[in-house]
Amino acid sequence: MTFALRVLAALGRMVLRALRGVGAITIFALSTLRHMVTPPFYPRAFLAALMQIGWLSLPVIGLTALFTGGALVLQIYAGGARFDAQAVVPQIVAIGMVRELGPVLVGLMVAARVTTSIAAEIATMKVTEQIDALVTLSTEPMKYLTAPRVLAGTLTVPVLVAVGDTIGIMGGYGVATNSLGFNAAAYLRATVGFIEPLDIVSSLTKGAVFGFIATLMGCFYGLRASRGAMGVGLATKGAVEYAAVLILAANFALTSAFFAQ
Amino acid sequence: MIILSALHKSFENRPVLRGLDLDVSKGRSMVVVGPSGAGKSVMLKCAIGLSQPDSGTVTLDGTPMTASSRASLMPRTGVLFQGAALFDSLTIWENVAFELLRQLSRPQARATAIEKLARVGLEADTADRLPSQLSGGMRKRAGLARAIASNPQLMFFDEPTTGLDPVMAGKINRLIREVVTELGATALTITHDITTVQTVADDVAFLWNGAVRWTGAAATLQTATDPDLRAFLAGRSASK
Repeated sequence: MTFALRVLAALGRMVLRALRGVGAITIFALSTLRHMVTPPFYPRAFLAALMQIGWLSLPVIGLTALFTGGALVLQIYAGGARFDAQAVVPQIVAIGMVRELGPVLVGLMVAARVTTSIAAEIATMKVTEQIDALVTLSTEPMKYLTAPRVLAGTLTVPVLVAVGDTIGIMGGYGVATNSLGFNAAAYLRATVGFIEPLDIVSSLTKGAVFGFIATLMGCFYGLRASRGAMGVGLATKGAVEYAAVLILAANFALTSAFFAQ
Repeated sequence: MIILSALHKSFENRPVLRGLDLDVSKGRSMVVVGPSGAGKSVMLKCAIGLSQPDSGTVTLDGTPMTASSRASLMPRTGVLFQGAALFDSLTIWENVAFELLRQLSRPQARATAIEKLARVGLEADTADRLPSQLSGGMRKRAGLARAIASNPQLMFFDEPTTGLDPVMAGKINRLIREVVTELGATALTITHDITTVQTVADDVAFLWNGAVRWTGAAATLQTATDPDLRAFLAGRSASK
């Protein structure tokens, strides 16, 4: 009986801790949204974040999408051959990249590249008293550090997703036409003709939501870092773990919202 | 004027400040000394609004420090942090002019920043460097230039000589004394470095176990009779 109670108490503590975490992240997100739309604004910080999150992520996003598109074509071709359905490769690659793989891969790559970098930078600022210095210089850290980064993430990740979708499809196109004997014009016609506006809208919406999550989690964990080098490490680890999980959960929710019958 | 009244602050049920009272008169430079763990840093964080005391009040130039008044008090204060706390991603002049950039154009703010850098003995060619390209002493000077950039009337110094060699520490202490006198500012410094007391202080307070144990003019420090203060000054551990 005592053992059962102890287990229940431990479970209860876990649930309470999880709920506290959800509450803290929700409050942080709402506060970030408020700071994004109320002055003062920091355009230089915003432009720097655009550069860091958008432009500098392009090479890694491009390479990831290119190889994934190529591998996807090979898998679908091999699978389709089992029931003589190789002809639908362009359509399935297009829908797979635009609806799912493009946004999710870009979201996870941004989490790996940007969330960690934001969390480590802000956590280091915290442990070296730079956040305190901001406050004494009449600057609200949420406004100066969080709002520009989250806004930049929300705006640029959809663009990265669009680039990733396109490069992924072109990677598949390259493999299909060079190694699998597809006709180039027919492949492109099949791809373009099959994608619907809703596919693109869902892809870009996912990009915006994933960008918001990835940057928000970096800022959240960075600002909550405890003192010392260990605090920086824990903040970075927590940020990327929770960003990745939330991105995948949001992907499921958005896919259900857009496409569930 | 800086008035700390009956400050109490605990962390996880461990009391750090236990009814701390401290008055710094207008235009005076108060240096607070005390052993590690006495509560100096927590007291300073409460004084500059970075930490909220559990009870008690902080009054700066007649205005009680609250969450809503902090924003109006900050432009009147200058703070030099222990590690200088310069922003890594900004150049030195952008650090110094951080607050000025809200009111001035970039060229004007840069010119003022270079002026302030010169005041603390840094050449104009440091202006475009990043903090990581400066030595510890230079970073501390740049931090001091940032603290005086908007000519504050209230100044706070957190262990200003920590991590510096004795020669550089002496220079920083003299600079602090000079800029505080020039600005006519009210200053509160925390330190465990007795040379800072000798150079910077008009008045001294000895913090012990979360409360002010002794206070008086700097000139009377050596004749103080409090046994724990005597032990601290002599570099011996005192009774707890």
